Amino acid sequence: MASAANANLNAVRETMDVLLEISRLLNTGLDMESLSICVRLCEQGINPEALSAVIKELRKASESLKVQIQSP
Amino acid sequence: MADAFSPKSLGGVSRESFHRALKKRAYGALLSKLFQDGTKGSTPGPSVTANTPPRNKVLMICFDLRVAGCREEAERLEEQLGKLPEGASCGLKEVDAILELLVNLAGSAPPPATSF
Repeated sequence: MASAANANLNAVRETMDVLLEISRLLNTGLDMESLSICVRLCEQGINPEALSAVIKELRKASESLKVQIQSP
Repeated sequence: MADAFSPKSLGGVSRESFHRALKKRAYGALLSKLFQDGTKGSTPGPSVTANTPPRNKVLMICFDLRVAGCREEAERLEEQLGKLPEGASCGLKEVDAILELLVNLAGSAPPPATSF
């Protein structure tokens, strides 16, 4: 039982490494932590298109908020 | 991404108001999509690649990279795609959904700074 769980954990780890490398090559801007959160959300059934739209929107909002705050 | 949303460098603005503003934008993005889907005729039809499997979309990006002269990146991407197991053997149920997300986010980050 424990060995099966370990094998699954190793498989997930290897898959995450491959996904992170693909993410880096595609220049998505996701680090390991962000990618892990996205993977968990997708595993829970979140629509990937909606998730990517929200990520892009939040990046834009974050940048514009920073600009607003930095300008006097 | 976590760093991009961090209010560390946001002067006197509270974390709560920063989060509130981001949450408002996130819900705005989701709901605007919802209302667009409800209005028939005002939005363009589904894209040709809408039903293309995400693995094929990655291969299409590989092709584009080759055309752009980035042969090494294209080969590396194909190699990584080949390493990605299909089905339950990878330990994840929604690998295709994750690939779809990565394809949608492709090129959305600023390119890495080049050193001279």
